[in-house]
Amino acid sequence: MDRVYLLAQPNSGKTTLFNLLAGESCYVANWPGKTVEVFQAKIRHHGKEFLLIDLPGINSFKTLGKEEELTKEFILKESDGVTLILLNGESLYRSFYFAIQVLEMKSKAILVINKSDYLEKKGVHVNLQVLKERLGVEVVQISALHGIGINQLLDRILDVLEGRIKVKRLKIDYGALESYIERAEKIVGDRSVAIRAIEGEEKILSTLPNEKRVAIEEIKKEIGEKIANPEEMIAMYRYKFVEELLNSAVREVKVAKASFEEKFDKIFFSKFGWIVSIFILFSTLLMAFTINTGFPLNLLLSSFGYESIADLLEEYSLAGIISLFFELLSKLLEQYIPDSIIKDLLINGIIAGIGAVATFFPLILIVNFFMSLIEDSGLMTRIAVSMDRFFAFFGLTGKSVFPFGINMACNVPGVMTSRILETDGERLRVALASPFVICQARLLVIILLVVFFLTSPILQSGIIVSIYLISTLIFLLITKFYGKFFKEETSELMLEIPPYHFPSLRVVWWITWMRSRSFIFKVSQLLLLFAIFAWLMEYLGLANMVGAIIATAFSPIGLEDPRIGFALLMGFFAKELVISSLAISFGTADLMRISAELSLTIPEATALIFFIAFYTPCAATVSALFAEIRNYKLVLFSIITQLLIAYLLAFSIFLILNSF
Amino acid sequence: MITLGDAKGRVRIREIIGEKDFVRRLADMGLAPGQIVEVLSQGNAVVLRVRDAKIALGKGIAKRVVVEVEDEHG
Ligand SMILES: Nc1nc2c(ncn2[C@@H]2O[C@H](COP(=O)(O)OP(=O)(O)OP(=O)(O)O)[C@@H](O)[C@H]2O)c(=O)[nH]1
Ligand SMILES: [Mg+2]
Repeated sequence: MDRVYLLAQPNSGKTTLFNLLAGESCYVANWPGKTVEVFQAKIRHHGKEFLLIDLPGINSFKTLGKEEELTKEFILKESDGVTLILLNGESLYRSFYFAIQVLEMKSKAILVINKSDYLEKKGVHVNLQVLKERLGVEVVQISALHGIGINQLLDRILDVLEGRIKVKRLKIDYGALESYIERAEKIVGDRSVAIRAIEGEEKILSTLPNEKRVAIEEIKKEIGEKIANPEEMIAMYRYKFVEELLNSAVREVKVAKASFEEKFDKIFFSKFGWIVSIFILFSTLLMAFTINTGFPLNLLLSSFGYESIADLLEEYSLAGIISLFFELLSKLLEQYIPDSIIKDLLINGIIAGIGAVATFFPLILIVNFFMSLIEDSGLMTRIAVSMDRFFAFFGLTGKSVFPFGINMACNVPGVMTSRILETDGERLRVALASPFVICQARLLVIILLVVFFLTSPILQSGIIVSIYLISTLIFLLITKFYGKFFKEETSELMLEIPPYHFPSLRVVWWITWMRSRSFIFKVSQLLLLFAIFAWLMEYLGLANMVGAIIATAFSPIGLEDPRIGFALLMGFFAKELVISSLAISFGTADLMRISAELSLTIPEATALIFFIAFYTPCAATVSALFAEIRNYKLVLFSIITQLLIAYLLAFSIFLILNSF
Repeated sequence: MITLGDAKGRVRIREIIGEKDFVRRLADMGLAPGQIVEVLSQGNAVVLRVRDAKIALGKGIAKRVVVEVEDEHG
């Protein structure tokens, strides 16, 4: 089938257009050789079918991430198919600079200027005929958001596919460099390859035989000596070309007046912009938390005496409804299936496992939804900018605030959100450090233990606050440490700030769903496996034995009870299981009685709480981490680090408190 | 020597200090020698208007872009 590639810089509206054209028919394919997901869809127009392929957005020909690497490889190597170059109407100048570079290499292309609605509002008129003559390709103007010009675009695609349109490659005048380019062309045999080679493009240079490489280097040196640095010269001529092109093809009819955008941005980009950002993030997270579990609004309400409302909120929160459903399901099975090992596996292994996946899912969906809203409205880049200074201390960019904030809700989407970061290095570091951020599930366990195992209110709140402070500090320090350890260069912020706009719910929902479903398909399988494993241990009666072995490791801090050991093992699968496992082994759900029976000293109880706060959050996070970085050695390494740090912290707090 | 890390108002880019990959990445964002940019803010990151686009740079990157003052009243 004919292939049509969608190529654009980030934020051009590629996803919006793809969603409009492909609708539900889209599927995600893992690109051969790379582990990057690429969207594909079969499109039918006037009885003809073609395959539309959505390549990852690429900012620059000097690529950073592995996704951009894939796109670059396509531009340089793929020779079949039609390329749709999508231009961002909001920043035409830069979009054209990108587009002409593609046009130098690809002739079977169509230029698609997106966001025509924005251009219209701004009073910018683009003369498509002039562009077409100058660039030698079809040019169409569309609005992916409002579905304008789409039919015309599809018609042009068919025209090019069926060879009805004559196409030729773009030739840019490089002035003083031309004679050198001609010489290089004689060596490598192709003008665009020659230009890329002079620019020092490694992907091109590495394919050349040695003597040709040397000859090119010779030419580059000559340019450097006689004129100036070749990369800068080429960039300069390209900008000149774009400037002339836009001067002749673009007219601004109205002068746009300073809008609310400027006023808003004044606040965001000031020294105190981070206060606004933290406020926005905080209220968003609060909203997501409350919809999911009712917490912390339920606590707030009950502390003001509105217990009945608080209960209602908890009961009708998503997590409440889902766990109710699974409880009912187990009860039903309990009644109708005869006793056997199968029944036990079904109820205590599989349903418990699926239940765990299901209760996670809403939170992931909600968090992804709010994230997409923030992203699509243009707020995300502003928040990243305002937080950049702070994160730069630790070799991260301001964008890291997103995975960090989401980790406070749940580490699974937190790990997955590391994807949005700029470089592979930053992604890896943030993903690996994510488990140290205290998630909601852990917070609940911590609160329960703190309330029942420690009596002094000062100690209770002191411990929770210090756990949060320490966790933030560890997250930041660990990212810095991993940076040093993997010799990753620190990444720095460099991004385009789009205009604000009202998010399109259709697109936001689509992005939310695409991101969330990778949780179902990738993470949940592993999670189920862990759940069945845990069931097997219990079934074979190994629990107590294993608990005792684990407990010996904790005897230096006074936690030698095997029931605690086993609870900690279960907590590795999911933190909530710490409480239920204690309840099962003590034969009571009353934490008061469990606490009395254990009779831990204050240092011992605090050490236990600290360990629980900082060791591996859950099996789902481990699975998500693996799905994201696909390197089991690194995942193993990170688990060991988590256990080690948690143990050291528990040990230190034990020693400190004991010395009073 | 003024850099984008401490400039205000309209400036012309004179030189970008760094290896060639870095230079090219900036050029692709519209930051090439000879280009005129407007510094909008020097808060927690440097925000610039480059032609019809708004661009944010981390302080570290901004300090490597040498500029000269173009005209104070833009
Ligand atoms: N005004 C206007 N905005 C649009 C149009 N098409 C897309 N957008 C907006 O532009 C922004 C970027 O759109 P996306 O579809 O996410 O762009 P993308 O190219 O997939 O971006 P990346 O995935 O980050 O590379 C979103 O806020 C869209 O709502 C359009 O035709 N008009
Ligand atoms: Mg996209």
